[in-house]
Amino acid sequence: MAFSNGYIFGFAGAICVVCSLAVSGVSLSLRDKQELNRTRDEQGSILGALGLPDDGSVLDGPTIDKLWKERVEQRFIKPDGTPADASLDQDGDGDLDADDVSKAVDAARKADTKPAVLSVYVRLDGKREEAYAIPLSGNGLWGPLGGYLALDAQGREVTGSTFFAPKETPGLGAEIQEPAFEDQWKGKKLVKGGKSAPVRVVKGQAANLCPDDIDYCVDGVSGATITSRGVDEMVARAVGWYDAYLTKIRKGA
Amino acid sequence: MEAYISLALKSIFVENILLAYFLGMCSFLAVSKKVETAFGLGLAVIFVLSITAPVNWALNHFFLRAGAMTWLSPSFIDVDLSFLEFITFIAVIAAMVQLVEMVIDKFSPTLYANLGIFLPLIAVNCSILGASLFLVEREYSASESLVFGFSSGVGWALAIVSMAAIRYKLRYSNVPPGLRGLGITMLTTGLMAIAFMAFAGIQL
Amino acid sequence: MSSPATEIQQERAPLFGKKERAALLDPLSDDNPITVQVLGICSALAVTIQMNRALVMAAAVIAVVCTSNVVISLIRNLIPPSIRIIVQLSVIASLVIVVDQILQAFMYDVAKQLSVFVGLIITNCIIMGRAEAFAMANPPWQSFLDGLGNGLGYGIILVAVAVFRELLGSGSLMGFKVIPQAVYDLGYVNNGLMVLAPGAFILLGLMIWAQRTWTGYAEEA
Repeated sequence: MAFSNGYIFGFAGAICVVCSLAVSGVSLSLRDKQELNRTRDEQGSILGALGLPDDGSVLDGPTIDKLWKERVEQRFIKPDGTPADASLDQDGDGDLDADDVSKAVDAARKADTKPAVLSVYVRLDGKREEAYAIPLSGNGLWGPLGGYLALDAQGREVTGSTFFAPKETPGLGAEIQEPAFEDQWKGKKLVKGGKSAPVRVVKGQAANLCPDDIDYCVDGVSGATITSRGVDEMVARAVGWYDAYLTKIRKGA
Repeated sequence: MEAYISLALKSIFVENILLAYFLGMCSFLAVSKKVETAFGLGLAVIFVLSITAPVNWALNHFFLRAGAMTWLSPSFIDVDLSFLEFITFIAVIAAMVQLVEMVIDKFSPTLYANLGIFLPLIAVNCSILGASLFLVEREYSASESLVFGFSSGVGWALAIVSMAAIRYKLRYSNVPPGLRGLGITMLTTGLMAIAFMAFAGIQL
Repeated sequence: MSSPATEIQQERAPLFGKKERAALLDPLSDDNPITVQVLGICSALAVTIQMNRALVMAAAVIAVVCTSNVVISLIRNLIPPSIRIIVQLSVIASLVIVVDQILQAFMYDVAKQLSVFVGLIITNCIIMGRAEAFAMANPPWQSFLDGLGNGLGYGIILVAVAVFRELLGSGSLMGFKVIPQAVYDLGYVNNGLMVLAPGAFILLGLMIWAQRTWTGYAEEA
């Protein structure tokens, strides 16, 4: 059966239309759900770092929404520790949100300065500020690293941590996402002799390598030197950026 | 400049698209019997990758990603066509491969005959689509995409030519029947992958 | 001489006749897409680091290959031969996009882990191969069974490789730690190579050896 040119074009056109409709239809109808998943995923990590939920309940979708609304506040601050206002808007949409912080952070890392605006997540119990989570960003071996470091109400001690290593090799660099690595950070201190001091990630066992400074060291991941170094750098950088803010908390708290 | 050389070396050796990411295995396994054919296919893949990577970058940058079409009109800022990525990229790739087929047929009918079915199968070579998807995920720029596409192709070609050379040397070895062909090739690839891991951690 | 009634009966293919059973069961071992047909290797290696990823990928591939086989079989007489390949690709690509969108909406964690490899189902030679080799020439029900058989054959190998890789490489199965701490204390260490590319290649090579020795299939030297 020979197909005429007209038929071929018509058939091709029909396939295009049918496929486009099917694909667009599914995508549009599922878009909101996907967006919700993405948001909940991010909020879930921050809640986890902040130690929420603190009543033993499971971190599922509705719980995330509820806790985020009631117990967490996202604040925008300047590197000197004072609150930032909308004049520091980076992306031109008139208000401050996560996009502005991302742009400021990217620019700061390229230029090796402090970002114009930073964000911090505060865990609240009513009006009382219980804990703070500061975002981390850095580079691993294969791609970016991220995470949150949670601090107690005085900004002196680490109460929790979450790390992201989306492109690192599972079993090696990606081990920083495992509880075995993250749990080490609990109880580490950020103040030495009255000044801010970052927690170092050492190549090897902290117990052997910093016997006197054990509160300021965690074990690196064996076989993942570059990723461990990336974590070390990103924590040091974050502690530097948030230094003024943390000092204010310590004085005022 | 250094960044581009670093990216090229990374894509050829450290993150070899076949030995580290497993992409492009099917034609790799089937065409790696003779060095000349492997070399010809490798060149074809380099060519296709070098062209489809920047073209797909442009499509993604100007049409598909969220808020891409603001150059047409500011009101399009909310439009996000990224879900059409797969189908757009594969269409570009299929068209490119058709072009490459015609070019090879004209300039080297011997190579065309040797490659046989595997020339059109470049279209479904996972490494071509994979490279385009990676460059979107890693947010490479236009020039980085070109370098990445070309280097990924070189890496793939390097792997397939090496494999052909090794299989040529193995042709008189006494391989157990169940291991012949695919099995021994898999084991060899595993050893090659270990060898390439030696490049991990090198940064310029 | 058979009566017209019997002739008509013979024309309608049985639901699970010999050909149908062959379509469904052959790809499980004798004609396994990965170990015998040498198709679909790419993802077989990439997503087998953990069992849950392998299971989701296998489910996705089964869904796509069955649906694409049925769709292509339904329109097989309408497709002009000159645009055959691109029509098949369009159908397959659209189905994969739909599966990807569904995963992102309902199984977000797994979708994150699978990342680009869901998109690479499009280039999974199994789907294209079956569409071209079977669905273009056979009715929808048989095409569905063929798709199901090949998808399952693919899934079996995927899960088998994943079991070894996860067990030996991370000491867990489906995310649950299986190797007790006592064994680690004795000095046992997870085999890091299993988690990386070479481990997958070598494991697959050994599995192919085992499977082909069992079925007696061997390539000519």
